[in-house]
Amino acid sequence: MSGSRLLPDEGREKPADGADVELPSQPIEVVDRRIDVAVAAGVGAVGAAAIVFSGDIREGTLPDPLGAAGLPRMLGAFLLVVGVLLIGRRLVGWRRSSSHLVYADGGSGDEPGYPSSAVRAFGMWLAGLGWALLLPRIGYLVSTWLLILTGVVAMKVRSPWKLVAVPLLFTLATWLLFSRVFGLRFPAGPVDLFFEGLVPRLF
Amino acid sequence: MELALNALSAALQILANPIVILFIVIGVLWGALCGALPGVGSGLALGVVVPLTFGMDAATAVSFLVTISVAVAFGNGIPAVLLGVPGTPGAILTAMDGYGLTRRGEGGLAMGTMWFACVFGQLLSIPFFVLLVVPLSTITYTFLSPELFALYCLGLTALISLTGENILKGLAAAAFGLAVALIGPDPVSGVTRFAFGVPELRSGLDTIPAVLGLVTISELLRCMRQTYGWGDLSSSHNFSSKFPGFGKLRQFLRPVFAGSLIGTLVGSIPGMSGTGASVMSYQQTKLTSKTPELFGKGSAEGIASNESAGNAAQAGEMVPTLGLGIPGSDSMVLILGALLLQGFVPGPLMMQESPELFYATVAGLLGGALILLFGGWPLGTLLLKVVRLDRRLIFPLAFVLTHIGVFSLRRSIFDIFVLLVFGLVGYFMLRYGYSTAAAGVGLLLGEGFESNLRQGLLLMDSSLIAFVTRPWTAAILTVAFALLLYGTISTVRITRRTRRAREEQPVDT
Repeated sequence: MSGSRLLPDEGREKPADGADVELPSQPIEVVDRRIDVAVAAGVGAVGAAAIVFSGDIREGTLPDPLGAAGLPRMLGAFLLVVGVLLIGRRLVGWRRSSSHLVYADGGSGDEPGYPSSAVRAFGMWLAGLGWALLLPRIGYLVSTWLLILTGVVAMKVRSPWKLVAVPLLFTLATWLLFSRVFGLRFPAGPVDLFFEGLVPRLF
Repeated sequence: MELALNALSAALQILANPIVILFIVIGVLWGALCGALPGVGSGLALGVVVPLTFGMDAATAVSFLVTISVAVAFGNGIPAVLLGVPGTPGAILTAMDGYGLTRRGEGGLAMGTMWFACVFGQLLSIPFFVLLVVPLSTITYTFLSPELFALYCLGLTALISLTGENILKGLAAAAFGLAVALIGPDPVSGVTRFAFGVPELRSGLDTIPAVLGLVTISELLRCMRQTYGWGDLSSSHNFSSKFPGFGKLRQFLRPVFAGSLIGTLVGSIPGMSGTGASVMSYQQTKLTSKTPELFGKGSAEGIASNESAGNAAQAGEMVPTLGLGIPGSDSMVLILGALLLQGFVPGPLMMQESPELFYATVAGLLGGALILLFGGWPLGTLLLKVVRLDRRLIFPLAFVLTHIGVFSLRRSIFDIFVLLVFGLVGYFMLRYGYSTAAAGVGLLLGEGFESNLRQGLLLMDSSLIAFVTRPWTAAILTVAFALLLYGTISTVRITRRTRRAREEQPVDT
């Protein structure tokens, strides 16, 4: 995945009094055309799936001009057509320029001048998935501590005290707030049971 | 008029409740803190706390969320003035003028003007908001299914046409949201659709995790692509926090009043929100200013017009949200989502059926503005330190908090999976120009969209002609069609412009 911004400097004005004011730029977003085509294909695929699976919908006995499957089919057909149009538009552009980077239409890019990593974003997503899988097995305290630790390590925090203190304190603070004050029952692991014995519920 | 007066007195009654006051104060602190963090908008600020409102009563929850949205608008100006970094697109003009003043050692004037414009923009927008919402909601009282369906169409097309750069992608996003809303029981016959044998889907996909995934998790994932610190964005911190004095600020009353009016009116158009309002107000003030040459280089008058319009637009955005049940931005989508948690059904009849939501909104707007009036200046100077916070810690913690919040709603691991799946989908939508707000609106209003279409057709004896030619339906659908046409023309223009830019400037990273 790639996405960055170009910073045209033309048109930037200097202040009248000569002070060197850095005006915010209007960056032009660029995206990877291959992924843009893949996302458009995903749009078409959702549409095709809606049409195919709407065939399994049982219609009710009441008279209904559109029926339970009517809107799913219409939306499915619309998504399919839009997906094909978006792919077609990019493919036509490909003939003009062989570069994979193209100007985006409205996408949110990165802060210019700083490196970005899609792997980090996907890593955090996987960490969230891991939290959901681990929570019922090892309990709230350990799974949440692991998720925060993964997050701060992934974000390149290297200060030892931040790496130790932030995950620990935030996990304990949210556990106290949600479990002890709000009375929410989290899945309990051995560490949770230990702390539950130490700190009684407020309500 | 009676409802308008009732609204103000009922809002004051709500504000007499110490619990509401407490949450309004928390909302101001949270909102201003989030707003002061560059890149953190009301979508994230609201998304993280929406699940926590489940345990509150409706009036407290609505006041709390409205206050957050008010305070985010205030906080957004702080990094713009201090660092020249617009936290949101609407703060770009504040960054130009505010940072210009800061670099000249007049940061106190920039901050003071921002505070003044924000507070008075909010306060002046409240009567305009009340006067706009009441007639709108009165009109919808007489509407039947065809008119309600037309309103849903208008809300979706307005949002897509005025915000997205590519109308096709905007429409695809809205259609995707509507398609997801079809999962579960059919609203007319009760037949289950698209459950795929998953028990959790038989009763329909829970809307809140899906909307939070689309709007909040997607944005957090996008932010976590980069690890720079907010402090790195500026090399200069030449800031004076001296309050400029009311005598100096009084000269900005005219742009503030004009900005508030423009902000409320423009903000009330779904999809326009604060950015459009700010730009229009800024241009208008520049045209009538005695010192137009300072605009864009360090004009306090420019800050006054821009900030008052941007803040008043917060109240404006709530006009279609409450008056018609159609949210005009991602933050309004989340507020409607929170109402779902409280048991309300979003839609055009929402305010007629639950006027207490309207009173609570006015209480939130008023309470938030009053707290910013008395505590905004010290809060603003305190928040100057916030931009030094480590964003590499903030985003992972917000990510975790959103997970915990969603789990707390139903203690359901399945909801976390829904949150993550829609977070990933939303991430690609954000990156590649598909409006997550449009998808969120489609998801929230999908059920009403379908049931009104089908019930309307039944009402008209299955005649589509009779359906679309009812006077109000035809008028609203015509406006929706005109907006679509406008959006299409804009897309063509932008395509031509980017093609020209491509020819002038090769893509090279």
